Amino acid sequence: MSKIYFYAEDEKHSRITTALIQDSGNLACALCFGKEIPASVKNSGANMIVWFEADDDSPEHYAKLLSERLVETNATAALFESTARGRELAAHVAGFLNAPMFSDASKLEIKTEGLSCEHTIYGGMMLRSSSAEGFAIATTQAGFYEREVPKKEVEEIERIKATEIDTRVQVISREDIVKAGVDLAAAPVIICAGLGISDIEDLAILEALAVESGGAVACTRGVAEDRGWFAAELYIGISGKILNPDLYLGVGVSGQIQHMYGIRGAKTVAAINTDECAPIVKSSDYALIGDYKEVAPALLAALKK
Amino acid sequence: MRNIYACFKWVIDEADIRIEGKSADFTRARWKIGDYDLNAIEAANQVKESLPGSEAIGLTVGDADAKASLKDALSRGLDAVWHINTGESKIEDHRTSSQALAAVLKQNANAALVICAEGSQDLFGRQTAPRIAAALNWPVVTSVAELSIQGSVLEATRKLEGCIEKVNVELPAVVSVLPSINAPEYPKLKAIMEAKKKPIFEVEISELELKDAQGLHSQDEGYVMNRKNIVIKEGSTEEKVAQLVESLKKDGVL
Ligand SMILES: Cc1cc2nc3c(=O)[nH]c(=O)nc-3n(C[C@H](O)[C@H](O)[C@H](O)COP(=O)(O)OP(=O)(O)OC[C@H]3O[C@@H](n4cnc5c(N)ncnc54)[C@H](O)[C@@H]3O)c2cc1C
Ligand SMILES: Cc1cc2nc3c(=O)[nH]c(=O)nc-3n(C[C@H](O)[C@H](O)[C@H](O)COP(=O)(O)OP(=O)(O)OC[C@H]3O[C@@H](n4cnc5c(N)ncnc54)[C@H](O)[C@@H]3O)c2cc1C
Repeated sequence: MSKIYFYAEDEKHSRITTALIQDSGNLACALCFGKEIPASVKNSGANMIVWFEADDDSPEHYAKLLSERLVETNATAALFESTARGRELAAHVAGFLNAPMFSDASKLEIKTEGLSCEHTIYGGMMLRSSSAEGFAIATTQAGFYEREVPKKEVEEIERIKATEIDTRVQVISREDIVKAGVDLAAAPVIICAGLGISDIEDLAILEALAVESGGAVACTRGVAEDRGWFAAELYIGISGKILNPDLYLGVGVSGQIQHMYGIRGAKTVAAINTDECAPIVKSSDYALIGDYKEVAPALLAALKK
Repeated sequence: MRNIYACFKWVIDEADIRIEGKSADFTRARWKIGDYDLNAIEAANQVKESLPGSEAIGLTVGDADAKASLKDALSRGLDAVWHINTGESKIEDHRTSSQALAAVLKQNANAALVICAEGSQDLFGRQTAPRIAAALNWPVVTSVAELSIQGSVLEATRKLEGCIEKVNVELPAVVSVLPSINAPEYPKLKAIMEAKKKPIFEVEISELELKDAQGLHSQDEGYVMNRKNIVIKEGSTEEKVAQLVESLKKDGVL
C-alpha cells in the first residue's frame, strides 16, 4: 500500500479519484493549496488531506513544493483533474521530476509496477495504450470513470506551512465567468445544437425538446466560442465536455471527430442533418436526414403525444 | 538580446489517416505544422513588434523529414528557425522533446519569452510548456488568451474553466496560448520568397546531453466506432420522426 496523491477541483471528481486509488489498494491523499481546504476536498472520502497552507490560492504556484513532497514521501503516482490549473500543475511537476505523464487518461489502472491507461491521439482517430514503470503522473476527466466513493469527511489532515511559493506569476484580477447552471453530466438526454442551427430563436425548440425528454441542451464548439450562444462550459468535445448520456441527439451538427470524441460513451447517438454525407451519419445509430426547421417541431409534437 | 521563441511541431494531418479495423494507414497522410502551432508562431510575431530590436525565432524537434517545415515556418514571419534533429534516435515521450527544447533555449541564452500552443495537433498532451519551464526553472502560464510585454513584465490573460484571470509574469517565461489568441493568415508570395534567405540552425539531439527518459511503453490502434448507422430518409417528415422516436423508445433511451 503506498501513497497516491491527487488534485481535483470538483467534488464528484475528487470522489471518483479516491475510488480509483482505493480500489487499487493504495492510500488516496487529496491535495489542496491556499488559505483553506475546499469542501470538495474535505468531503472526498480520501484517506488523508495534504494541505499546503499559504495565502496564495493558485495551485500552479506550488509545483516545486509538490515535486519535493512527492520525492520525499516516495509517492508512486500523482493524479490530477484535467482542468487548466490541474494540467499545468501536473505537467510542471512532471517536468521537475522528469517523470512520464499521461494526459486525459481513460481506463487508468494503478498497479504495483506503475500506471497504465489509454488515451486518444490524432484528434480521436486512434487509441494509445500506455504504461510506465515507476513514478508517473496522469490527468483524468470524470466522464471516463463511473465509480465514486460516497461523500465522507476526511479526518486526517496534514498541514504544511508552505513557503517558497513561486511568486514570479502574480494574479492581478479574476473575473468569474457566469455559469450556465446546467449539469450536463447528469442529463440522460443531450440535445446538441450545431452550427447548422441558423437562427438563435430556434434554440427555443431545442430547449423544448430537452424539457420534454428530461434532458439538457449542449452545443458544438463554434456555437459557444464563435457565436457566443452558449457558455463555453456547455460545448462537447475533446477540448470541451466529455459526457455519457443515454441519448445524444445532434441537431445541425456535422460530427467532426473532435466533437464526437466527447460523446463516445453515449448509449445511443442520433442526428438530424440535411446532409446525408455529413460525418455524423457514419458515427450515429440513427441519422434522420432532413431540415431541423421541419423535423424539430414534428419531433416535439411526437414526444408530447 | 530579448528574443521571442515559438515552438512548433511537424505533424500528420489527422484527416488523412485511414482507419481500417484497428489498423491505421498513414501512407497517404500529408504532414504540416500543427494548426495551433501557427497561432504560437503568430503570437511570437506580434510580441516581437512591440519589442524593438528583438527577433522571433522558431524551434522544432523532429526527424529529418521535419526539415520540410522550416521554410514554411519562416514564411510565416519568423526571423530564424532552429531544427533539433532527432535523426534515427527514438524519442520516447514529452520528457525528451521538452528537455531538448529547453537545452537549446539555454544554449542560446537570449530568450525573453517562449510561446507554445496549448496542445499539439497530433498527441495533444498539453505538457510541453510547463515541462520546458521546469527544465529552465522559469515561470509558466498556460491557457493564455491575450498577451503583451510591458517593460520586463509579461501581461497575460488566461481563460480558465470558471474565470478570466489576468496575471503579470516575470521574464524570461514560458507560455502556452489558446487557438483563439489570433488568426494567422496564409503567407504571401513575398514572405515565401524572403523566407529563403533567412537563417536555419540545426543541432543533433544526441549533442544535447539530455537526461534519460525510459520506462514508458505504448501501442496504438485505430479507434473503432460501433454504431448502428441507420439512415432515416424515406417518407414525410412525420413518418421519419415517428420511425426515429419508435427506434429510440425500443432502445430504451427515450
Ligand atoms: C484541435 C481541435 C479541437 C476541437 N475541439 C472541439 C470540441 O471540443 N468540440 C467541438 O464541438 N468542436 C471542436 N473542434 C471543431 C470541430 O472540428 C468542428 O469544426 C466542429 O465541431 C463543427 O461544429 P458543427 O458541427 O456545429 O458545425 P459544422 O461543421 O458547420 O456543421 C453544421 C452541420 O449542420 C448541417 N445543417 C445545416 N443546415 C441544417 C438544417 N437546416 N437542418 C439540419 N442540419 C443542417 C450541415 O449539413 C452540417 O453538417 C475542434 C477542432 C480542432 C481542430
Ligand atoms: C520524430 C519523433 C518521434 C516521436 N515519437 C513518439 C512516440 O512514438 N511516442 C511518443 O509518446 N512520443 C513521441 N514523440 C515525442 C512527442 O512528439 C512529444 O511527446 C511531443 O514533442 C510533445 O507531445 P505533444 O504532442 O503531446 O505536445 P503538447 O505538449 O501537446 O504540445 C504543446 C505545444 O508544445 C510545442 N511542441 C510540442 N512538441 C514539439 C516539438 N516536437 N517541437 C517543437 N515544439 C513542440 C508546440 O507549440 C505544441 O503545440 C516523438 C517526437 C519526434 C520528434
